[in-house]
Amino acid sequence: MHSMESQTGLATALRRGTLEFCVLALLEDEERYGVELVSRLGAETALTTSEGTLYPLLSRLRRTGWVATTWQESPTGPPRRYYGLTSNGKAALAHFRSEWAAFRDAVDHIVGTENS
Amino acid sequence: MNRSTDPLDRLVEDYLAEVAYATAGLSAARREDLLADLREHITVARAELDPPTEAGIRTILDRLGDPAAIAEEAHLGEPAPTASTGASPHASHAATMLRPSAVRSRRSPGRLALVLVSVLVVLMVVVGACAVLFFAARTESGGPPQVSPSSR
Repeated sequence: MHSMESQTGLATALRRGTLEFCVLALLEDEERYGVELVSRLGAETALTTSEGTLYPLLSRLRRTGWVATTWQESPTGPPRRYYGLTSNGKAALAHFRSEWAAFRDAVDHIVGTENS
Repeated sequence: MNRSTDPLDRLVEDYLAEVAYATAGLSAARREDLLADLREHITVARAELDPPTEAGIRTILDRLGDPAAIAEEAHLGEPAPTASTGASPHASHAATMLRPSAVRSRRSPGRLALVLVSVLVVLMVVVGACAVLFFAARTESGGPPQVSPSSR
């Protein structure tokens, strides 16, 4: 039998290492502010547990130098911090894309999920 | 920070206090970073509420989620907390003096790796020097003769 805990553990393990690249991909074409970015990702329930857990991830991406932030005035409310992709971040995303495609194909091939 | 009596502010402060409590094991700099990010999120999201109601605030906080889950995520890639809860007070104090962007995560693991590598390098140099001396001594005192010049 599968316990709920091991199911949650699987989702966590799958997210680890992939979620950060989903963040990079969301920032590829435009800068986004925190609330916008985390609500986009939070809407994908398979990707994340809650919006708040994305902030430590964003903080790591900043420290890695894959994203950079700029404060911008908002016409309606307080200033917002916008996240954007750095050139290192772009390179990391490109690298992930090729790795991911090979990885996904290999797993699909072995596990038998090519057509699912 | 002034103690607000506004019930909506209280909700927010209570939530942030829970996150602060759950992240007691983080370095001070990392913890302040996280709390600032969350506070900023709440401020921006709250400004988008029209009007700002208690239900609206609760929704924002619910979507941010369980402080324990946020804390767990924040501890990833952090050096394991020492027995005395968290990084050394000196290191974290020094870190808070820097701008957050200048604080790098490699601080502790990096330092450990550097020490290990230095020890290895020193060991290899010592072993190498001993070997060279040993063979040099052997060659001088009746080791096999060098290849004779006549073989050219």
